[in-house]
Amino acid sequence: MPQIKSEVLQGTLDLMVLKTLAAIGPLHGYGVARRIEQVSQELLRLNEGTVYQSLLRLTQKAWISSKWGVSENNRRARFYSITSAGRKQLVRETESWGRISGVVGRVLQLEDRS
Amino acid sequence: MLAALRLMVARVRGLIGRRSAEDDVDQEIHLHLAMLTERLMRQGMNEEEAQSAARRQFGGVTATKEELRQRRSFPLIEAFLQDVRYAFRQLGKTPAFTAVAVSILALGVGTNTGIFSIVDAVLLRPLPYKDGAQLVWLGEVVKGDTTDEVTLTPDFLDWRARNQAFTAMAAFNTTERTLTGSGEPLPLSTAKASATLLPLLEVQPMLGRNFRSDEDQKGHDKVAILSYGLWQQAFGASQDVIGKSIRIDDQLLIVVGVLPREFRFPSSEPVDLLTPLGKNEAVESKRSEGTTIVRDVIARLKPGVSLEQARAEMEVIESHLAPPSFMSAARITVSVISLRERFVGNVRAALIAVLCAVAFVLLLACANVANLLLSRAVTRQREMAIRSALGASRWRLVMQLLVESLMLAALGCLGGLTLAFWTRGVFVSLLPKSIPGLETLPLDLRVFAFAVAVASVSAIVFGLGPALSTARPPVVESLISGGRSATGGVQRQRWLNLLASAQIAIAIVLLTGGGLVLESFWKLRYRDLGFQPNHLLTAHMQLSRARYPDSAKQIAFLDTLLDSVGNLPGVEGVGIGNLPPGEGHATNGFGIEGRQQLPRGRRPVAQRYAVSVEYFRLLEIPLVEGRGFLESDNAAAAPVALISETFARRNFPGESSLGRRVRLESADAWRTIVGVVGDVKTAGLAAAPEAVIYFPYRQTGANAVDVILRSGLDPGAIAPGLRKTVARLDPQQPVAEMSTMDRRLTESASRPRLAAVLLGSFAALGLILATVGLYGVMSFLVRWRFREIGIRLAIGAQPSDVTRMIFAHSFKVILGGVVVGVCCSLWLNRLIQTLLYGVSAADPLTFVLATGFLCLVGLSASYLPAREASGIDPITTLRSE
Repeated sequence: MPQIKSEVLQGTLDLMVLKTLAAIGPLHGYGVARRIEQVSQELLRLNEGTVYQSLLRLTQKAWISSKWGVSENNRRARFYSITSAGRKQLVRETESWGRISGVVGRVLQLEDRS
Repeated sequence: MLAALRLMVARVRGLIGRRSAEDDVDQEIHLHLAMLTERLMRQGMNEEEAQSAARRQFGGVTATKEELRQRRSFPLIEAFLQDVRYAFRQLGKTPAFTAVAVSILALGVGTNTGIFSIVDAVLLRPLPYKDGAQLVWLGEVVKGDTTDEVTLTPDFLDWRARNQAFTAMAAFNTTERTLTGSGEPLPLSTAKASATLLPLLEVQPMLGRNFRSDEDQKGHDKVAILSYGLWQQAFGASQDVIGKSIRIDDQLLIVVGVLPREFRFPSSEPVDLLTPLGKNEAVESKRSEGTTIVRDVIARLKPGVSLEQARAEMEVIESHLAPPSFMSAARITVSVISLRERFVGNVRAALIAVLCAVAFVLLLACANVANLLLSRAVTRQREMAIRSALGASRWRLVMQLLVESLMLAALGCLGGLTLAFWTRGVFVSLLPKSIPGLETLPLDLRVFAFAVAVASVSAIVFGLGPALSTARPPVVESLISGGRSATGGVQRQRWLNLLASAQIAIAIVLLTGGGLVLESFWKLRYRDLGFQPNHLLTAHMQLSRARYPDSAKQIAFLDTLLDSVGNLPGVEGVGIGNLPPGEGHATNGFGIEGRQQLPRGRRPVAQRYAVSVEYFRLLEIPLVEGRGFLESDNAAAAPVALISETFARRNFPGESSLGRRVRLESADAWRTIVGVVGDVKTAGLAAAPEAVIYFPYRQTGANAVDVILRSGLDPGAIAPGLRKTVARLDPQQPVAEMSTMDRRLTESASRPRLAAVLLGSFAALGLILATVGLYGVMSFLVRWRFREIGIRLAIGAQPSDVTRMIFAHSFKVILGGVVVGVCCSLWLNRLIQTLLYGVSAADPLTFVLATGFLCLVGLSASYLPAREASGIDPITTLRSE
């Protein structure tokens, strides 16, 4: 399976992780992976390992923070939650995503000259 | 920008908390997999299926971990730290290798650091005066009469009045004087200095005041400023010393100030007491017979004026000065140099040569360690092959090997700093004491940084070659043969040969340089002295002009002194007279009866020595012609003189000098020359012997003499007796510290001694390192060729053939090194040209001896390996493959 490598896809995954944490609250990596799978209605099948890379990236940018806690089945797990800087970033990213997807959508609707 | 910084901080934190972060990730991933597996099992898979499906869904676990690890901190640094740990483990596994390599490096780094700390203190640090770089020294070279650099007082006054380049100018003369009136008479070194000197150096007296400008005039100069040391020693550091009168040479002076503790007088010797220059400026400006000299002139450049501009201006001023009535103008030139140059100019060449020598020693040390590393490469071939097979890139292997070198260098650096710290004292004791900056030789950050830099550069120098060569594993082959293969070594062999030749070449350079300088020193110090210095003790005495105003009083005192000192226990002979090697040049003009009497300044010159009868026997100066002085040559007898061979040759070429008559002053009586004695080095050890004229002190008197004793005892045992004897004859009369003639000579040869001792010992060190290195290379090459030699022996070669083969090989290596080395030496020895005396920089004898010696040493270093080679048992060697 090809790994998600390109900047765009990395950015997309980061945006999804950030949104997930903003919507649901503190969550461990497994939970984030499940949530994305669920929301995408299993259309997006990613290597779940990449979620952890995304979590590390976001932590290093201080958009999310993490704390050790106990999982639903009583196991030690790291819970990630969005920070205020992360929320601001999410707003910015959401706007720009909307703009970009609008533009891309319009471009893709252009009719081919035949 | 901020984001980048935050990322940086996060990564640094990741680097620090490396281990716990690793554990955390393991836990997270483990949990993730477990939960995923459970979920899949709930969906109906059995445990085994679920586990492998979970792993598939997660993606590569190891790859993810690696990816996270890299992102978490700085992968290069992590790799570096890993290499450091690995390197220490490797070095710890071979303690013998590590110890040898570290010691060799410590030797190289230590010598370099030690010498650098001295070069730094002497040549690079500023003088101990505010804006010391602006200070210059001026002097006139009055050619013909003398090569001493002194300045005519009227010229100094004119310079001071006319120059535009300097903010201030000051002159001083140093003299030996005596402090009396409080207990034992105390000999002092004093300076007569312009009132402008201290302000010019930006020094304030600690107590009291500086001289006023009117005190510079003769007659108003009865004031003195004490040095801090003298104030402590003779005046008990009393605050109310200001205004007190002290007695210096029977002259009463008023103390007006005390100098600060850290003040260092700008002359070669420390000065205890300052008095005003005290010139009669009205008389001086007439430039007549009353003209005097000043020895040193110091000035401070105006801001923005360069030394060259100042020099140009001074040359113009000098060319407009009227010559004194007794001198011809064309002979006088002015020299303008920086004060630092004046202080250290004469050791610069020596220090630079020594710095080059230690750099070569370091190169040899590096070559040796490189050699050790290369021989280790063989045993590590398997390790490299395995690591390479496991996926390490060549770059990674090279990095790791370089880190090992760096660790060796770091240990060597530590050792070197320790060595430098302990050996500094030895270096300093070799330097002339007159050089400023050595009292507080600092081992500070600069020196430390130098040591680290030297060690790091060395690590690359000795590490890169072996690393590149080691990290080229023929993977498969090495694994199969278990690292014992003899193939693939051609290039490495070439490396080794080159290394050995380079060591020989460097050793040649060091050996010829050291040899030349040692030979110079030997010639300077021991040969052509013209006299015999062994078992002679001397003590200088300056008779007070006030109490011994005329020759009759001087003669009476010296006569009694000679009698009494001769009776001291342990004294085998006693004489008085002036002693070679003096500091200054011949300056006494003289006239010869029956020839044209030239005016002062144009007369031939000679050194004037007043001596006792025993003088020539004590110093073993041979009588060449005529007779020596007799007891009967006293004031009542006809005036006589002895002359040196140079005097005779110069003034009486082709005729006999005996019976001719000479005189120093036109008012003197003519003196008959009764004999000719051998030449001695009167004007310093490096100068050619000068014309000397000897008088019996009993006819002329003498106020500055050396008492000369022949004794097997050391000076400490005789000095109290001499001092007591003098005190009994005249309690006011001081005696300078007693010294041996040998020590006098050593002191006057301190610069050549510095170069000789340091270059000589570094040459010896270089020789040892090169020998060890050559032995290492040869024994390594032999081991390399075990199999080849085994085959040769198996197919009928005799052990003697093998020995010959090894010797031929090492001879080729040595010859290559010798050729390169000789060429380099011929080129490099120009650097030490100024350090040489009586020997050419390309002295064939030195070169032949050095190369011959080195060939011999090199071949004997090959002896053991050659014998080992001839003793190889072919069957064992071949079977072991």
